[in-house]
Amino acid sequence: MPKAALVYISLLICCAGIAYKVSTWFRYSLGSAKFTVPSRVSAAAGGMWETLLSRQFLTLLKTFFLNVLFQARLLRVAPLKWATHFLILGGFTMLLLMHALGDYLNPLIFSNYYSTLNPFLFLRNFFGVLVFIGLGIALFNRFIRRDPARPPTSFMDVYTLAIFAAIIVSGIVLESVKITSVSVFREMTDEYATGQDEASLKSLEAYWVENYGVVSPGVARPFSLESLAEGKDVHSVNCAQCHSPARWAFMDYAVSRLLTPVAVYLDGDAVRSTLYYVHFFICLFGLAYLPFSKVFHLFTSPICLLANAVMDRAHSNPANLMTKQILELDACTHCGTCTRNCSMAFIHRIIPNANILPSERLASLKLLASGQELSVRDSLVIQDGLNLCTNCKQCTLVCPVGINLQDLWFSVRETLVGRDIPNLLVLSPLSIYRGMRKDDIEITCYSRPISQARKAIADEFDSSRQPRTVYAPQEEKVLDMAGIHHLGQNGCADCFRCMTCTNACPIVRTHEQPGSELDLLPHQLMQAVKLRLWDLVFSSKMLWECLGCYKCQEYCPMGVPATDLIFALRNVAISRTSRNIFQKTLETL
Amino acid sequence: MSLVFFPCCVASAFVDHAQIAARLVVDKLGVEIGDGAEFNCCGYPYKGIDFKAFILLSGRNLALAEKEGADLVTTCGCCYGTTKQVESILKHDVSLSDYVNSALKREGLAYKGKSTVKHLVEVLLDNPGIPNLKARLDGSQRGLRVATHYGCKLLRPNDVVGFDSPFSPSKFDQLIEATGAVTVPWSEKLECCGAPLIGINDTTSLLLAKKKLESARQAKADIICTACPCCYLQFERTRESFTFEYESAHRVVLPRFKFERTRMALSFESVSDFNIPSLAYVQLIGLALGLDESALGVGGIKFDAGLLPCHQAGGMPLGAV
Repeated sequence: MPKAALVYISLLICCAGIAYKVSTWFRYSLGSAKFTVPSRVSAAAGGMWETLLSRQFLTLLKTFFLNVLFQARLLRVAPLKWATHFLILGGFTMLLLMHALGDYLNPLIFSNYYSTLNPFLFLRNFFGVLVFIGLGIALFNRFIRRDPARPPTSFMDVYTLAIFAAIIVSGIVLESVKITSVSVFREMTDEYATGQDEASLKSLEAYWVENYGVVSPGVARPFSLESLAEGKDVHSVNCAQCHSPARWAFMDYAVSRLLTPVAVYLDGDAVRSTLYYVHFFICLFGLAYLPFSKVFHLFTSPICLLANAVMDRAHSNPANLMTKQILELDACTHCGTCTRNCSMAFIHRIIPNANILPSERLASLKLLASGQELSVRDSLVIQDGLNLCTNCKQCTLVCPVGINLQDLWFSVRETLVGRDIPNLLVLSPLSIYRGMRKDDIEITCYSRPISQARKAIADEFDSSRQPRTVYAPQEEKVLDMAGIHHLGQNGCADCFRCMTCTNACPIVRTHEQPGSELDLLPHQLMQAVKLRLWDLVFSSKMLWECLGCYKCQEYCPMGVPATDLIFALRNVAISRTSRNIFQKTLETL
Repeated sequence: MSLVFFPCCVASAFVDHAQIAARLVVDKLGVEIGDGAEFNCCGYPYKGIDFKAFILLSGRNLALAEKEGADLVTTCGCCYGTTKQVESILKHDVSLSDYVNSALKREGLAYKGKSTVKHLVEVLLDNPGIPNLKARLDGSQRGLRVATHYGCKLLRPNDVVGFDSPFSPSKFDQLIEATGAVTVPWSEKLECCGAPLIGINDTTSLLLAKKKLESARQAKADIICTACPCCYLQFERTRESFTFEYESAHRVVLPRFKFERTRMALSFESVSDFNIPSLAYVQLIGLALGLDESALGVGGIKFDAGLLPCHQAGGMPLGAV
């Protein structure tokens, strides 16, 4: 099959892949809102059209030069990554333009283009080396330095590094074999040194063996000075115009020196064409697979940067915001900058759920967005990891490709609310972010997670439940308030119902009928704990609406650590209920 | 002991200008506070979820500071109280301390109790101190009536925090008075602002804050000044929410907070009892130091529509309030 056909086929696969990917941006959805595909396409077209005609066009232009071309965001957060990325990207782009497409592009710019002439001969090697250095730094950082804050290396990370390395290495080996090959030399002399006699050709060959790295069994060192001088004459007449010294291709030349002992065996059409096709096919594979690999960020990251420069929650069309979020999932390069700056990543070491790490969570989001039927267990795992996020916004501020991660997490959290799996973490101050963005949530969905969580916990400790709740020894300890050292010696044993806590409590003061509205008043809560009335304790509104202001504890004349006790009780309730929810979902599988 | 700045998650997400103002103020005053260490969340939200995680998170921050031979400095009362509590637990509970240190070992970290956490108010009172501070401030806030709000975690539990008297605190008032402002006594001074219930029970949360706003208004204060960015956020959000509701109900436009240094009394006509603006203390000190208003983020929090619970029709049952 002609090579051109192969190139077109891989290009076709690449384009089809891109088209498929682009279609997912409009088909997949996140968050509680629903839009049809045509409405999203027309909204996107309208939005782009409006932006291009408005003053925002200037913003786009600025972003394009600053953040897309120069990658200022990356430089700001990770200068070494920026350098590495630029070495690989710059080197490879130049190789693509002046080597892969060189036969088409170079003649347009240079009047006298021969791939064997300088500067082309040198620059090919130079750019190859840039890519090599970049890959070297990347490999070193990933596999040798082993920074504990870096997220785990994925298959896609390895693939990306491997495909670039394979392209460059195969190219260098091919070229170095060609340098040593005497048959390539003879082909060229047949073509360009016509009309030379046998003796001059021998001298030329000697000259090339001596100076150009050809390995030939036909001539033997040492060469006489006259022979070399004659070779030089022939060379300058017939070869020099179109072939710069091979040493300029410094990488190829260096490798060819290493190959010298075996060069004679490597000299043959079969070897050369095999090497050629290896190089050629790796490149084509890389091209065809591009839309499905991490390299696709070549297209998505710039779009993401540009979109986020002109879009915001307050002004943009919600349909476009959703489309942008799906696009953002493709724009992630798994560089790990978010995880490195995450204020919760550390907790991953004691709670081994990969979804705690923002960079890993994104992979789960792709599954979720695609609308695939996730098992309850998988949803639960994603939800658990996601909800530990403090929404400190650091990930969004540092993302080199400008993904608005904060909004992504928000959308996904609301998507998961729709799946009705109790999420107990909403009962903690982690809900502040959700509360602040109440306006972005369907009003019917807003309070559902809270009542759901409260119900799950109340059910768990329901005294009429059969079989009756059995407490593990550790829990018994906590429930008895004996095992918590920081709670002091006696827990609530010293409480004599003076009601100082209740009188001090700001929550009690905000209710007109606190006795009935809060289920248990603070002093009653203490009594219920003393009497081990766990169903009352854990279902009481008071326990879950305590602010943690420590007034009760501060004012208690008996030194009952009331507030700390409430936090301890919440711990028991949440760990126990969430464990059982998890077990229940496993049983139903 | 050198100092290193510890950022707050909630402040970073919503009122980052208060943290920027803190940086401007300490730089202007020549207090050296470093940046840099990769801290994590203080663990405050995890206290009621996963106690070990809560201990570990603050334990790691303290260990990171200890490694740099520094004390943590936070502008946030919640981060302060939380870290302080963990510090005290680790001091008294050997088994938890061992647990934290074994978990930190992999990173080459350990907490031996050398580093501590300081609130920026504490730092400023210590160095430059009140007399020096008074000399540096331009007195432009003279006569401004301020209702000071400490925030729960700065005062309680006192046996753990030990910042000031939990019943009649004065340290923060002293700092504010150094600017030339007058601090007013107000009945709700020691109460909680209600921020921990945002997203859990918004009605109660807003009611708590409204009560405080009204109390400060009754005490004839011009502004509330908070020692914690979360309280600042809560007061401003509450004021905006009720202002919005008031305006919709009465078809009027209330004057928005405009801080004019020349006009000390910010007393626009008291059309409503809750309409009192709040400032974070770093902003007030920054103003008194002659720093630029816009650099300090003075002028209220820019709430986009999405951040106000009342903007949604039928979203909040505030009519009953």
